Amino acid sequence: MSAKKMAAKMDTDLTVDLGSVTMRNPVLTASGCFGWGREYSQYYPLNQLGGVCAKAVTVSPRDGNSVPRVTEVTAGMLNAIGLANPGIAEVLNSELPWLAAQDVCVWVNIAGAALEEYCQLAEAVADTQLADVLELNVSCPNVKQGGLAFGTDPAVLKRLVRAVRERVNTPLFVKLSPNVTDIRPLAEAAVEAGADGLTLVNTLRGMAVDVKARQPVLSTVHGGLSGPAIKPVALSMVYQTAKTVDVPIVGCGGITSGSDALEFFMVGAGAVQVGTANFTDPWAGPRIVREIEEWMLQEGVRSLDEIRGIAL
Amino acid sequence: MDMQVVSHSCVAPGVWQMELTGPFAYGAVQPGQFLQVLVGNGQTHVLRRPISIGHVCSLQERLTLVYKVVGRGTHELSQLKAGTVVDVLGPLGQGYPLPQASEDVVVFGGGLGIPPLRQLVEALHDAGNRVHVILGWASGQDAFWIEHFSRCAEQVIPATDDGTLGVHGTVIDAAGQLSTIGQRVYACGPKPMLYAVQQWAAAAGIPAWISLEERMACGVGACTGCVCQTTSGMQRVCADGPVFRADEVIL
Repeated sequence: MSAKKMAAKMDTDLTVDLGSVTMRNPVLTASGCFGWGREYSQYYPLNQLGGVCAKAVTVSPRDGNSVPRVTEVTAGMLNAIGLANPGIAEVLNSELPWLAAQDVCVWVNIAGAALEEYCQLAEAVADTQLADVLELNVSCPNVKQGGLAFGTDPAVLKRLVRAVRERVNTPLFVKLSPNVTDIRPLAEAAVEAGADGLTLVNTLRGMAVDVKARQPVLSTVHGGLSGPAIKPVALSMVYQTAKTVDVPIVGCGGITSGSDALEFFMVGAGAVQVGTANFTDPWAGPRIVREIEEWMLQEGVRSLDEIRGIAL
Repeated sequence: MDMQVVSHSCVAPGVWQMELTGPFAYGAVQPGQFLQVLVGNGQTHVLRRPISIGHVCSLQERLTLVYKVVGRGTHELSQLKAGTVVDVLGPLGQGYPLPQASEDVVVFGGGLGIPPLRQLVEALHDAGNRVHVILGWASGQDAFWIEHFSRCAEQVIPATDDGTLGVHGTVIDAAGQLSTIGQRVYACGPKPMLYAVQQWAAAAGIPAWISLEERMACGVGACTGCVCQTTSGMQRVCADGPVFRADEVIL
């Protein structure tokens, strides 16, 4: 390494400031793709990540949908897990304390079937003081009630975010659905109701047919599409949203490399979530952090502030 | 981790045997465990293919996988030539628990469920057990690896749906030819076969272990894509299995 590069490395700062929360680097795992972190902690220490966004938790335990509930499609995958989780009591008892001890920013994703459930979940998590950020899941396409409805109607979303905001002080991010004609009214509604930031996007609705069996592959027919296939959609929605609202945005959708993450930063994202890429490469998170840092060194960029929104 | 293809050949119509070498914890592999195999660079095929480990040779640092071409991913995999590098993750999952003392053991295999049973039968044989094997296929042309089982087993009974090889019927139909019903049962194969084995073992009052197959995403227990219903609730096939006690699985 040349002296110049060495000096640059010492100065390279991967820290990101998302308003109400600071992380050591801009790479988070996406909810549902990383469990509560235990499984992946056998591959690397979780403090190599900026943060871990845990699997969505609901009030009661859920088995989720019948199998098959995952399948690969070209450059992506479909899932219809259906928010399988052991319920809030068990999660707060056995999962969250473990994750909170891993020296990483902890994001807890909560999913309710009704407004009151979101409030109940938010309070229960906030009471533990173990979560750095609450992420509202208003966009899960895999449950019959609630979920997506909260994420597609700006008035409903505003009421929900306002109610949760009034109950807890924990930094609040809202994860928006791409399954809308225009994402901007939803983003505006969430921000007006007091969201500290936005995560976008969740999965796109899709399906696959098993030609041999002559029936849909997934037991639920439809599922959520994720992976490289959706990156252009996610990027364009982050771009539109960054032009519309003035809160930190976390980009999510098909990010598999440092270069993919940089695309999101350049259209206004302050951080990124990595989901499906964990399945392809269990070391995807730390590798993406390293690739971002290498690019910064090469380009002489000392802080991501220098490039955030530069392509807007 | 990267491994190198040593040999790669067709062992039955659409069924391929891939021998790999490279840095790997060969000695740590339990019979019944699997690898997650990456196809290409992971951009087109984002999910790894779960393939059970058929044979391990620690001395020569080799392991053998057998898989069937069922879609574009496995077709692409089948095109790999000797010398090519393959990215694998593993060994993953919980394998078959072996008996503490020498026993008479019955092993049922069906189709692509047969490969992991070779490693199991070899381990059982090496530990001094007497192994009785029934292997089922749709047709005689689909059969493979009988010779490997014959080396370690007291008896190997083939069965085919069309009667072109061995017993005309299912593996359960062939069970009448066993010289003993044994003290424990192991099985791997399609779900209807596992169900039949589960019932057979329960009727005979013999403890049984079965290996399940399900569509997987992460392969390490994080995504909960591949679940099965058990007497103690939902379990993850990849991490809690793929081997389960037969009387605990609700098929």
